[in-house]
Amino acid sequence: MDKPRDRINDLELILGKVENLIRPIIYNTFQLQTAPIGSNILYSDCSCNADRPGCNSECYCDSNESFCFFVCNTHQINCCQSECNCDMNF
Amino acid sequence: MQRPILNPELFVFPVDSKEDKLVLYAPLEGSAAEINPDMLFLLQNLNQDQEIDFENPIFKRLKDSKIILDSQPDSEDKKESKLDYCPTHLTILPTFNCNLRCVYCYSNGGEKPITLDLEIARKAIDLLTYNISKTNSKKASLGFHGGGEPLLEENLDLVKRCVEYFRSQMEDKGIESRVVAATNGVMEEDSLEWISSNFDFINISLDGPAPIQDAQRPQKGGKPSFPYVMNTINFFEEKGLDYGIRSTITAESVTQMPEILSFFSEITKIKSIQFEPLYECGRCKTTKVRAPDPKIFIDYFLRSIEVAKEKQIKLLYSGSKVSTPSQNFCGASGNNFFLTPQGNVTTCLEVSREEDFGAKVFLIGKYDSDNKEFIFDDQKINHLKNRRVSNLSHCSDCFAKYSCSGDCLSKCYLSSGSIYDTSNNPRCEINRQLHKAQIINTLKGGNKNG
Ligand code: SF4
Repeated sequence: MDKPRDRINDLELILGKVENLIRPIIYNTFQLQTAPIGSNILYSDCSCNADRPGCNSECYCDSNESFCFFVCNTHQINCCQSECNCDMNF
Repeated sequence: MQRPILNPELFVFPVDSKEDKLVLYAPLEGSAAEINPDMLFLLQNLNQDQEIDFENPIFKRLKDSKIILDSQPDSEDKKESKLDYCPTHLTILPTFNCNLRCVYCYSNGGEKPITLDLEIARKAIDLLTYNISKTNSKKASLGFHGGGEPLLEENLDLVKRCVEYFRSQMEDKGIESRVVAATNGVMEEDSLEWISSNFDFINISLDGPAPIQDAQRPQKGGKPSFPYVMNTINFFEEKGLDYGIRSTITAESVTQMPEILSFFSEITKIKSIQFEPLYECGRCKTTKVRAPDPKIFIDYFLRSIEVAKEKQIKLLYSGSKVSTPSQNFCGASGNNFFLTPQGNVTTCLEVSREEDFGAKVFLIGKYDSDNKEFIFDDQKINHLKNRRVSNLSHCSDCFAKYSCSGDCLSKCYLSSGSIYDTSNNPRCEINRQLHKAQIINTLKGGNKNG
């Protein structure tokens, strides 16, 4: 598969005349808080972003990773990263 | 207002082929915005000298969602990653033996049925206990998984002793403990009774209604497994044991995904289901069972999301973790502690036998029976730990990089011979399309602040 190129400066649109640059339209903005799919079922699916803004929980994951979701104090469960993602054919 | 800068991890993609609506996406902030091409042009030229009205409320909204920033943030790559291997969760693979003969089994379960020695299992629990004290952890978990079927009747004594030993060690230290397992669900009444009272969570593999389940997951002698698995589920529901269902989707079953989901919602009280596309490996070589075409999988997964919403079931897939951006796909990146029946330590459940293709990468340690201790290979651990999405060249400019995290290490290894080469993995397309759909759906559906 070709290497994806999704950075903002990679996208060249075939634009007609670009007008109204100072008054662009944004349809909406949002904050992603929950997601319908994607968490690790075996170790539950805490969507708390421990160690990230907005989450008060103390993370005692031993990985010291930038994104650290091992154990969430708020939700009292082992979450996300902790072990396997279990996508094998078992 | 000073001239803002773009978030360095900012991506863009068209909503559809018309390119008149675009999505801006800042994955590390959990923010996205739908914009038009004019706005894209403006942002692409943000650092030029042109006059821009930064007091416009639109810029405030972009700033609030951290799509644009006042100053350069710390680079994720520069943040230090501690490379010590000190796991506080242990998963035991008690045996390669199995009572089923699933047509796609990655581990050829049932063949060369070696079973783990109890002494080695106890030593692994001792090491876990030591790590817990060392890291001051307050919680620990013990899991059981295949290889073969971990909760097989004839090995249940081994499992019981491990659970008892683990719980007593943790109780002594005031550590909260959790015991979990993944199972094929075909088991006797006595086992069910004990499991219900001693486990916190069970993940059951069930591929669909009887015709699909029995074709894909027959018993050793070819008899159906469906009635036994349903008996297990009913038993767990009666006892209130928390469980999940995980279904492998093949080329044969892919177009039935929405029906499979409806079926489960009708006959069980399940709250979450995981669908995973088959990856051709293990027994697939002889049975010739095929993986679903990625495009068809995406199409039917998206249809299944609609059914899941209606039935209020959480639908999961491992390759797209919107709410938990991460550098690592899973603990196979040098964190897992999986003890195999041969006394090896692997970080990936798909690589558990010494003769497996990825053994030289994923088998990071071994029990030394002379010295009665585990010996680990630091070089291998570091090779795995450094497999972060920031270090994957194919993924560097992908909008889905923090939700996919470069995907499954062992599948990349199987497809390209390196855990760092993600370019040949068929799941890449699935992960991108599903993540895109998640973002667009969320933009359409909710959490709007504007
Ligand atoms: S594997 Fe594909 S989808 Fe995943 S981060 Fe890499 S390029 Fe993106």
